Amino acid sequence: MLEVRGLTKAFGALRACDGIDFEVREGETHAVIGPNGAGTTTFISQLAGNLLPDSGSVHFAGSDVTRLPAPQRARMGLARSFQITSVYPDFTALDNVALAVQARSGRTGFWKAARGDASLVEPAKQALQAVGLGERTHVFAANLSHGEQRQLEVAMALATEPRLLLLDEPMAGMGTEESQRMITLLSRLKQTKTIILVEHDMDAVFRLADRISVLVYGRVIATDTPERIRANTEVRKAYLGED
Amino acid sequence: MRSRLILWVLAIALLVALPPVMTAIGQTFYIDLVRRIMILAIAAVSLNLILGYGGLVSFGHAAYLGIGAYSVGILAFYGFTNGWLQWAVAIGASALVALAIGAVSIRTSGVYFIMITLAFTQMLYYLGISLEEFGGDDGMRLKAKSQFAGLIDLREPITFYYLALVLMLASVYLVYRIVNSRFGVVLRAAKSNEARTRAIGFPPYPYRLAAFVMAGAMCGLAGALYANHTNYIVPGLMSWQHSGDLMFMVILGGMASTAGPVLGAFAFIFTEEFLKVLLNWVAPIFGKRDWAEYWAILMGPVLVLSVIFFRRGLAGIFYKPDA
Ligand SMILES: Nc1ncnc2c1ncn2[C@@H]1O[C@H](COP(=O)(O)OP(=O)(O)OP(=O)(O)O)[C@@H](O)[C@H]1O
Ligand SMILES: [Mg+2]
Repeated sequence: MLEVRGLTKAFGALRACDGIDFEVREGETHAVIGPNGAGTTTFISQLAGNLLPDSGSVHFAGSDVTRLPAPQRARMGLARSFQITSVYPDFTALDNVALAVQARSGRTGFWKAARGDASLVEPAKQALQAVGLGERTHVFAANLSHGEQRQLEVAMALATEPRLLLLDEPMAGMGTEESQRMITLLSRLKQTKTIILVEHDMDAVFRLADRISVLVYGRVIATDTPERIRANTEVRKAYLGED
Repeated sequence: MRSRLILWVLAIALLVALPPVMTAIGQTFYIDLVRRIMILAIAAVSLNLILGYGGLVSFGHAAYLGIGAYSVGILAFYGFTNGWLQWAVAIGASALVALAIGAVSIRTSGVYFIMITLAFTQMLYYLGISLEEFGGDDGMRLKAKSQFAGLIDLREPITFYYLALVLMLASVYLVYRIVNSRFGVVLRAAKSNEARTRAIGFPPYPYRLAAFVMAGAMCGLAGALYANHTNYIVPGLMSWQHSGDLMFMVILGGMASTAGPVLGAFAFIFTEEFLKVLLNWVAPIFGKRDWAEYWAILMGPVLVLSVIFFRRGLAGIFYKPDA
């Protein structure tokens, strides 16, 4: 469903992504792990279209999207969440998600009020329900807790009905309890969605991932099942800091 | 919501009652003044669409006042006095120019956007000055007011007043509908968080450009009204100071609020008039005759203070801004 070949991106002398080959199969949850600064966010940004690679290619659902702008990729079914929470602080939770539903619907208009439109509001409420924000629909995003804002990010990504979900550290900055709730949510989502999950929380990664790719200094040093990754000595040395 | 509606009804009642009351007490000057304010309020309302809701800090919005006014003036000069035609041209020409300026400037952002919109408007300003045939620097007299074949007679000051009132309210309602529509929500979202908006599938550019064109068109109508109001069209209408005045009306009244730009227009012009009267009153004390032209020196501090004290503008006094 997603195929990456030789993806390279440098910031000056620093090669944040260095010839990455990578693929995601329909239906799998593919985790991407790596030490801080390994290049995971840079990688995700190139998949989503926020950054353009220096070289290499990205194919999604059979077409070359390497140079396609982010909004077009989103409409093809690539949805991302951001490592640093990115919501509309001055919109309510419901309005945040309703906008994502609207993006999916593809219809626009200059006159009818969007806020009362059941075809936007109902799916938005469902998405909020699904991530556990059903009781918080009318709260401004700015007034949600950090954990709730992370949930809202996922709800927005979900509401676009993506074919592939790119999650950049959905657990970042969460407490244990919030993390557990997010893991529960993601293990439910993984039944029906194809997901790329970037995460430092190893507990979450080993519980959720079908396959894991390990990124170190912008290179994929291994891609395998969680058990084999756990046993991989090179990975342990490079990443888990053991020898 | 309820209390907002009551405020609107009160304000409209006041504006409707103003002409007969002022006529009765012999202060028709105020009819003229408020009519001018309402026309400028239309311009401010249109600017609020892109500045307040769209986050596009256009420092050249007076361009469309000028284009609207010159459209009417030039058509009248050549004997085309049909109001429908004149106003349609004023709106159409403004929309076209906004499309051209917007197509270039909206690709930039921040300070660059401000400078480019300013530069385009300065070009139009100097174009106005160079039009010798239409009075150049001195401007041109409007040969005849726009004519609406027996329907509306703009030579009647009070009829014109009520037309300006209706059009001002219509522009407020129009922008209210637009910003709450699907289109408007995307426009506001792009202002609030551009990266997120792109990530869920909306490219901000076409939305911003469309808003820019709509705002230009609406301001062009204000320009057509303004030409009929003053009977005189000068390039100064497009000066950067005038663009700045419009921005201040929006900021003073409250960006991204429904009533803000209207409140701002009233507060701005009333303050201006008040300062002029005040200066003329104190001038003799210092042995001078006329200080009214120095009003802007006092206006500066007044604006700075008002921005400090009314964070969300005058509209913020009455209600919270929309989500
Ligand atoms: N826009 C940029 N300009 C210059 N350097 C950058 C830029 N973005 C990222 N980098 C650098 O590239 C490297 C990879 O960054 P990236 O954000 O992809 O890391 P990451 O794997 O997501 O890290 P973390 O796990 O801490 O989020 C880092 O050394 C970072 O400092
Ligand atoms: Mg990162």
